[in-house]
Amino acid sequence: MKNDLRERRETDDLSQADLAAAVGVTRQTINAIERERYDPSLELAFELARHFECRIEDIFRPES
Amino acid sequence: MTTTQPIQKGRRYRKLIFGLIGVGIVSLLVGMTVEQSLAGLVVYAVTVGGGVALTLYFEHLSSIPMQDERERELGERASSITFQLFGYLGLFGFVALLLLDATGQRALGSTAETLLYAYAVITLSWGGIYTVLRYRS
Repeated sequence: MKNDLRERRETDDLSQADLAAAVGVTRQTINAIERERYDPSLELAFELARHFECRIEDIFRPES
Repeated sequence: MTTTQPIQKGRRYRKLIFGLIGVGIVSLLVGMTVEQSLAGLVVYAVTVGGGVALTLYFEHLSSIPMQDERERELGERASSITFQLFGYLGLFGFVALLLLDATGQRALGSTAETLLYAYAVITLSWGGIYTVLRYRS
């Protein structure tokens, strides 16, 4: 899954640790999502979308 | 001032639990090596028992998560790979041992027989648990 989480986080001037704390996961998990090595659960995807006040599909999109 | 998030606290407790279990296992092995098996066993029982009690507490009674979803998934993948690895090794290994036993080339020892029964019990347990989960999903 492709995503623009890093760009959104940097636009909001947040560290990975800040975002991780805001959505209740570890910094390593945010890092893994940004590097597209881990696809979050729907629950976490909703949490991230809520945090950035957008829809899930604004952040995440399929590879193809 | 930075505040410690629940997930960070949980990870610290998780490391503590892994440390306790590690100390227990090392104590048991050292005890057996230096012929102090009972002392090793006592330390093992206390530390592993404590680790299990803490795990049950955090999993069921505490609001502090010990791991997040990615770490849980990693644990599940590690368990799956370990199970598959030993599953295939056991499958081919035991078939080979049984064949050697049947052809009279090598007798199946009592240890191998015990391991064979343990392997069968674990495999049947997996099948039972899978069936229950499948009907409940």
